[in-house]
Amino acid sequence: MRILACVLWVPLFLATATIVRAETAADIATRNLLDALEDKDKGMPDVSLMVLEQVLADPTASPELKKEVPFRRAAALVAASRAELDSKKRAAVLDNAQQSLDAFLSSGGVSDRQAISAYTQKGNLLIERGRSKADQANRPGSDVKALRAEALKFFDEAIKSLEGTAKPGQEIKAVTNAEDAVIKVLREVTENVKELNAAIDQGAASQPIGGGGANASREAAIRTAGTKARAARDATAAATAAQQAAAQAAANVNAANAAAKAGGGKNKAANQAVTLATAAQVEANKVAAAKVAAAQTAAAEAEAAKKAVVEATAAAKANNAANAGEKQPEAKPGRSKAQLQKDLEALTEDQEALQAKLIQTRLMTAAALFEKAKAYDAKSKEWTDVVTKSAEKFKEIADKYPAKGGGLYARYYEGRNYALLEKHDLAFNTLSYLASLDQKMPLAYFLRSRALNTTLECFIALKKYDGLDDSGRTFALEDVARLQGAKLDSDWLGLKYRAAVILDAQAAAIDPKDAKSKAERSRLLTDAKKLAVEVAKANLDFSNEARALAAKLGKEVTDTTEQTFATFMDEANLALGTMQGLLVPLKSENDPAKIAEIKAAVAPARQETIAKLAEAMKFAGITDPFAADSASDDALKSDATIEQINHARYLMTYLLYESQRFEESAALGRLLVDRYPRAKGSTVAAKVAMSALQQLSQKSEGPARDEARAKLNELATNVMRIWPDDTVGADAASIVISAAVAARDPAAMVAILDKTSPSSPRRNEILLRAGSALYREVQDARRNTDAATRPADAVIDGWKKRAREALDEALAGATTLPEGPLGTLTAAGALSRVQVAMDDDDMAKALAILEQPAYGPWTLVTANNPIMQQGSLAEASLTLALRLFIQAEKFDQAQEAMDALEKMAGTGEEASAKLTSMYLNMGRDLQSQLEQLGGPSANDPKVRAQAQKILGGFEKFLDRVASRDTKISSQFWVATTYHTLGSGQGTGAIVPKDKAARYLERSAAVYGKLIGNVDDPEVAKFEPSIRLRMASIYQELRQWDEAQKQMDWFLSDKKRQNSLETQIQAAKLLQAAAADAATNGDAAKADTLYREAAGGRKAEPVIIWGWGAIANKVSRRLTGDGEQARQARDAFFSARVKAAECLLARARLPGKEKEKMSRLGTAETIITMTYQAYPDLGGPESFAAYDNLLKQVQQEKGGEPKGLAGLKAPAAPPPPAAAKVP
Amino acid sequence: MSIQIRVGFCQLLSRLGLLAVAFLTFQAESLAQDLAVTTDGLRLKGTLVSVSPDGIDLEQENGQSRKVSIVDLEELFFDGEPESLAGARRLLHRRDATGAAEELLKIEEEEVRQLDPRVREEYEFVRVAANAVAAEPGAIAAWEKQLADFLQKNARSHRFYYGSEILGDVRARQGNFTGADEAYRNLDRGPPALRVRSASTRASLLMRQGKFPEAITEFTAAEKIETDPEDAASSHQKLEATLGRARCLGLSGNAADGISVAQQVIRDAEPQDKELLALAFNALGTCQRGLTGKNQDALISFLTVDLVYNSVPEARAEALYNLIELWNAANQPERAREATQFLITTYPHTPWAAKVAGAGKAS
Repeated sequence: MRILACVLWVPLFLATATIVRAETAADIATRNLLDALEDKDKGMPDVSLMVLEQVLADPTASPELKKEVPFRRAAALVAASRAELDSKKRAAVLDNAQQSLDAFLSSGGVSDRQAISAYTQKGNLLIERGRSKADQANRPGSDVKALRAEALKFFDEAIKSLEGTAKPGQEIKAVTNAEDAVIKVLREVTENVKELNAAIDQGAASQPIGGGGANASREAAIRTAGTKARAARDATAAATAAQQAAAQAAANVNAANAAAKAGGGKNKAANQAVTLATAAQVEANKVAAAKVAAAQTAAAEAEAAKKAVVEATAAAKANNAANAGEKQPEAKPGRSKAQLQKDLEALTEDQEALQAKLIQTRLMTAAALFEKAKAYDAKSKEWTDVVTKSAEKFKEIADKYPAKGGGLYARYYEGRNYALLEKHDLAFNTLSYLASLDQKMPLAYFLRSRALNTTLECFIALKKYDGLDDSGRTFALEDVARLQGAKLDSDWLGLKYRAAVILDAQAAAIDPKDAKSKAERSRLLTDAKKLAVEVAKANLDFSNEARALAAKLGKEVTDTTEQTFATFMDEANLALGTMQGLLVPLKSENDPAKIAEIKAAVAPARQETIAKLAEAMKFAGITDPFAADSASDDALKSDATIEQINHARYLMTYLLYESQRFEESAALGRLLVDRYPRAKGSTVAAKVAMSALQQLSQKSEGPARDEARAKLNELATNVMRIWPDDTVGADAASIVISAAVAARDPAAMVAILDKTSPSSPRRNEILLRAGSALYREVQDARRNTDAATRPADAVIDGWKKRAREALDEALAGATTLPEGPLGTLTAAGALSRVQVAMDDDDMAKALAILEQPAYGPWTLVTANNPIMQQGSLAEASLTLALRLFIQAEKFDQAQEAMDALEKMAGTGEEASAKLTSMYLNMGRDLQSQLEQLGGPSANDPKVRAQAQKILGGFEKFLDRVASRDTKISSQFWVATTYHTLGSGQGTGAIVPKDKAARYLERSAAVYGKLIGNVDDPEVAKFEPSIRLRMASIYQELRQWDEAQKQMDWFLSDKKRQNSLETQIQAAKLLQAAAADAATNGDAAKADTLYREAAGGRKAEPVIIWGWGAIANKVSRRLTGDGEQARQARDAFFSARVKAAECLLARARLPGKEKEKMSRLGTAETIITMTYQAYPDLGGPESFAAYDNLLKQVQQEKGGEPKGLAGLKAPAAPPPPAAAKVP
Repeated sequence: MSIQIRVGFCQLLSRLGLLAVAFLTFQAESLAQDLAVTTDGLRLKGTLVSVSPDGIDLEQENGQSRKVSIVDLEELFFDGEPESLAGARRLLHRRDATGAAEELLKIEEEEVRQLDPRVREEYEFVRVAANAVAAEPGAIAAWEKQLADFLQKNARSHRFYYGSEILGDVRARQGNFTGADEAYRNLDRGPPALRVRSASTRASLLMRQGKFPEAITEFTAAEKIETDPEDAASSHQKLEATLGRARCLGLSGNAADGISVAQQVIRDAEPQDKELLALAFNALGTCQRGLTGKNQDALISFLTVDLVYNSVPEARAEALYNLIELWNAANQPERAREATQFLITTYPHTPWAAKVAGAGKAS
């Protein structure tokens, strides 16, 4: 709608400078910058928003400038919304803009001038929103009623914001709409103009500005200006009268037509009256056109004369100054007079601008009414009423301002509305003046093309084919490209097509046999063909109808159609439209067979669209339309612009994705993101490209998959940076965080957290995922004992801090659990936060989160929330809750958690194993917690107190469970946990030795009690593992015989004898017992045990392999990369060195001097042969152990302890499987 | 860094007066109407009766003599000068030296020979100065010598200070900082505004060499030169020196201080002093770029020059150069490309365009 377009978003507050007087250069610079940024060509609303933020934050910015912020913000938001394709997001932006405008208008102290712009903008904004809703209502499958109701609301609000309520002459006190605001300001300015004119007239008579020719010229200019102004007033009055006469003539024609019609066309007098009235109307139109033209010329001359006065005044002033040899002081009377003149000039310009603004505002009100009609069914009563009301408004404006541009516009829209109302006679009579305008200026071309188009539409509807006269025919045949300011738009195309139809009809009315009229008929047909071909060639509106007409007229239109990028794109769009049409039934289809059928039908249309788009792009000079290659972008051919090419790329990205051509889709999407992120559709293309790369990474394997993942990560990182606050940026962040989590890359997680915008729509999700994953990395890093790969403590602490911050931010203020996956993420995040709090020894925080009403894991699990019904979240929540409640000595809740865990494990074969696994996991976590406390800060009193608190809680609870709960699972858990607490590995620094021994004894006692019930099948099932655990416990308690007894029991079963792990444990037990015997002075026992540890023991049915046999058994499994081979290698090298250790220990035993050298020799041989066979000896640690042992052996032998370094360098190692082991 | 000198000089040009006059005195009856335009908009018609490096003396129509200081002279038109000479002079002042040299080629040799001697001298000055400024590395030394010779022969020309500053710039471009310093010192002989300018240009030389503490000292000295508080030209030059100091602060790790200085200049500036404001916003943007996380502020500062204070070609070129980098950093490659295109096509002969072109080739 052109009316709206031409007044849309008036960029400035009117005459702001006159309002704001005490601003600094910085304020003015900012204001000018904002004006420039609001300029529609520059179009940088995003930067405008940045600048406005800066203004708000700047304490030195003037209050006046700050006051403008909401208003300007609204303008920027509306401008930004135009690039938004997503209707929901666009509506949200417009909503935001509206709020900003309302905030401005209700902020108080808004000047009337500011109110003009603000209400106008508000009106525009609301019309735009109403139109958007009305358009949505027309889409298939939409809720028409609701959307139209919304549209109506917007239109009514728009009208309220625009239309004045004050009656003529009535004082306007409070401004509540644009029209009243304009009128109020205009009245003030008009008053000032009067005053200034009076002052100047008085001054001109009494005080000439200076002497000489310049002053004479000035006086002459003033006189001319007065004359011209009067002439302009007279001409305007004459134009108004002539237009009224033309309207009367049109009415006469209508009346005459009606009379002739009533007479059945047979009343000669009536027919003659029609002829006469028509002739009079033509004449009246001509006169009116001439008068309007004269009025416009007179107005222009008056304007020029006014300017001449100003120039003459300035010249006179300069002359005076030059003659005086110095500048005129400001306060001289002559100068003051000149200043008055200058002020008048400025004020008059202001007055004219306000008058124009008033017309614009009224036009907008009428236009808003017209737009409102779109929210009704066409031709319905409501529709008719609104269009009629709009026509009345336009008529009012047209009658009031007949010689003004705005008045002419109004007249056209008035006629256009009549045509829509099918009041065809009234329409073409109303438009007759405009349709016959023959002035050569852009405005005249514009109005005439539209008026004539509508008029011809009416003629065709009335079959009044003789209505098109020679003047109109000539105008229709104009080459639009040669008319200043005109372009071949839909109105021109309509005009030309309709003119062709009418000319064809005129030709049809002529008898082809009539020789006299032959030439005229031929001329009519030639012109009709010419027009039809022109419209067909344009390949836009009416092209199909025009092609048909041209074909009928005997011309091959397609042969003459010049191909351009636009014509190619039209074809592509046509194919796209066909494809979209085929897709429509999918929305309401549920039958899979039919869905497949529809999809199959769509595929060829999609391929055709892709082919057409590619053809168009190639025509424009794009070498490879499917490649991410922009080399030819700067040298486009034909009429193509880069915006159009990028639009084609955007469409292509989507279509290729739908065709499963993921690589090409991703390539084009990436090109748009990297090179044209501001192009319309680039955000959608980004989303599609990411999906395409996800598809590629899922569907491919090996290096191709890695490459797709790397590209996806790179693209997502870019997208996240470019659109941090958009959903596409949020999606990208989600992809990037997933990749970082999968890659176990905590540094990347931290970087993503840093980069995620505070206003990202998926910020919470990112925070939760990164926070939880980051804390998992903290836990893993702490467990890492390899100094070479373990990150520094400060780094780990940094990750933990970041994890804590992220989780706190995500959980802050959550009053309900979000739906869907975010709900699960929130619960998981809360669980991680509980862990962090426990890690911080902040029990209060941990409990608060655990039991938080909305998302607390305990709350959710006890309420049987569905998200706790699947996956391991519930299990993790319960084990953590159990630990926490125990530590907090909330034993009832701990018992509840235990019961819930057991319930969760269920019943049956696997249930016990599952429950055992849960308890073991919990035990490991507990141990890990204690190990951590047992680190470098173990002696810190605070740390010790924390550890004691944990231990105290567990002791009490375990004792309680042990005595009260006789369930096997509970007893098992008690024993396991005591074992964990008593195990010295890693926790020794924090659990006192005597306490550890006590825990082990308790564990052994509970296990023993369990074995006492061996008749219970449940216990019987676990007996072997209980025995093995007991062996381990007794070993730790140095109760060797008891330990051996349990081990022997275990190995008495042949099936269990082949367990490498158990055999290793058995050899270790023998070696440890031997060492203890040696320490206690029992050399014989020690000798036996060492021998058995190295060489094995056979006491049927128990068979212990010993280190030598262990090494031999695994030596055939050393090759390969798998976990099994790794374990075999560890076992092999460890067994070999331990066998040598046993020999060295035996050589050192008292009373064994004779065998000493032989044992030492054997030990040395084991070491050297292993070294020769496997020079790396299984890795640095193992190498060091061998080296150290060899040095001891060499020393014991009385030689120099050279270690492995003293040995002959080993030859190239033979394949491990072939190695012979002594 | 030399850009500030150049931009400043462009501004000063409008104050120094533009035209060389060969003779120290003229016989009034031998001359037709000349026109002097002053910085405050006065158009004084009359006959030039004398010129010197410090100003001109014009006998007006009414017989009264009118002296115009070199710092108050916006432009001086000679009666009978070819249009292309006036055009070339304007192009030179806009620092489109290549354009100026090309414009002069429109004047036929024969026409040059027939010119009034004072006009011919103006022609000679514009030709030598334009070619020296536009010269490629291989030719610059020869043009520098011609300019130095011109100034030596015409030491009483009102072009003397303007020419000296161009000479300093040309020498600085070749890395001859001592020679540049020497040329700039010629301005010390002029009115107070030029003395301030002399100190300022020399400070800029130090800044160009990365000697920021020394440059700050020199700029501060320029700001403290004693001048009449009513002398607007001197005040203006001092503000430029202040902005030079701000830049040095920004470039030497004291960006926050630099920002504060530049902002103060902007706050105190007359809103219509677009040239000073262009310099000030560029200085502000430069300092903001020196601080982490202030790229957005810098972008706004340079955009202010590009969209609001864009009448000073070199200032706008500098702003565009910075905008290219900032748009790229802000993931706005299209805007960066637009700015690049605009810089290269609109200000092709500025060092900023050369830098962009160089970066393009390097990549």
